[in-house]
Amino acid sequence: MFDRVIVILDYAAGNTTSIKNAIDAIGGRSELSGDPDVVRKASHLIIPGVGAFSHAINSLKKQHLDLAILELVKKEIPILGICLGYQLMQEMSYEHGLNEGLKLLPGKVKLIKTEEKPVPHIGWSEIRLSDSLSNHPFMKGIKGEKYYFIHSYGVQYEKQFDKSGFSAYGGYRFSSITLSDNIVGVQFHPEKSAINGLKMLENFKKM
Amino acid sequence: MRITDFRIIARLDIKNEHVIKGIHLEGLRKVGKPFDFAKKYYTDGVDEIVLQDSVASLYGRNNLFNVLERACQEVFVPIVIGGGLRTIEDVEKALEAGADRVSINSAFFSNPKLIESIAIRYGSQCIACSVEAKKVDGLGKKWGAYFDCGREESGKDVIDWVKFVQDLGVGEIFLTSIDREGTKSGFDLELCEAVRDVTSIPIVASGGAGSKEHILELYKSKLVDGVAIASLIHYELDDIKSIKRCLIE
Repeated sequence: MFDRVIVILDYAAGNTTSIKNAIDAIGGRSELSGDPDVVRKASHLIIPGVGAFSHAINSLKKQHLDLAILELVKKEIPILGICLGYQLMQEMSYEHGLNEGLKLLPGKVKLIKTEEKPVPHIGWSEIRLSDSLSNHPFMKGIKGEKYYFIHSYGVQYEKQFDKSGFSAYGGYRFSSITLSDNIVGVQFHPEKSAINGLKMLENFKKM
Repeated sequence: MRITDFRIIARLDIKNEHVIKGIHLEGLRKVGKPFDFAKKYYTDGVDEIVLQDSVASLYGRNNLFNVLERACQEVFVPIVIGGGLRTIEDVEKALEAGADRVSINSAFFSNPKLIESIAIRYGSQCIACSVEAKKVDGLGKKWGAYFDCGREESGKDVIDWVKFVQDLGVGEIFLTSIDREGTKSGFDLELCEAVRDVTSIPIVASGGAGSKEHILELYKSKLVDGVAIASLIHYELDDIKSIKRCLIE
């Protein structure tokens, strides 16, 4: 079986070098692209992101990447959103006013609220998943580890949404990972979470 | 093994091609190659690595981009780069090479507007302000803010300075006690408390780690969110695994 090429979305928001390096390290191949035609043909897509939601979503729309991504969703192509990329996949964000996301997932992005801890949340935290979510291919061979987070906003869902795993920071509970069939999103950075993060990327490559 | 909400960070002070270690931020000794250290600490389970260009100010720029690029290819924990970063272009170069965050000191004194430019373009979280604090003689709980590896005095009070940069949009404080740096006599907890009292952003302390007991004391104080260590691990007086074990027990 030939090695598919993972497309890393290039839309002027965030560090793609680390993701590219991590994919190289797990023996995968990647291509950085902001061209909707390339994205449309991807076998796997990673949406990275660091920075402000509004700037990022506007860039995506301007480059018509939102439409290309929706086509991938229809084709059930595996898509992984990382950090801001994960937030962009949601319904909407409250960062700097109300902004609509790509609506691939029904979450809302809100400011981290805690009296106990400093913000941004910078550090390693655990993620908690239900048993059924732990069986998702993205989680294969991974158990109870901590991952590296750096964010000031968190994703929250209505109670009935059951595709999400959670983390807590200073009493603030937020969704740190969502596994919805081929749409996967993580608030943390797998490319900076050592061996277990790399394993997740490897699992994604095999999806 | 990771301890929640308290980062163990390895700081590599680099001059030319070598990791160096000093006392009171002066008097240097070469201890080895940066990439080798970064890899070793990554393998040992370090939470984060800081690559600090300690002579950047002499050349007016940061010389570590090659080390950074190479490290980012094989070290998959966050890497922070600092020393001689002066412009938004320097920051762009650092982030594109794979740095998770940048650490800046001197440039913020001469150009505080830089904070806002970086924050708007890349977000506050990628900006760590490196604060070098030295006790002001005879004035109790007062520290002056220094730059250029503790060589130059800014004339500003550390507490005023920290409040100022936090307001402008810095995402994190890397707080170094010049008095304790390299002495292995423990951390300046008074300094940590004074800074903690005026900040709502994360603080990483450094300067003074002589043993894992010092780090345990710092951890238990709940005053800071991480510790950056150098000579303690470079000279193999202790190692990352046993430091972490000590904190967990």
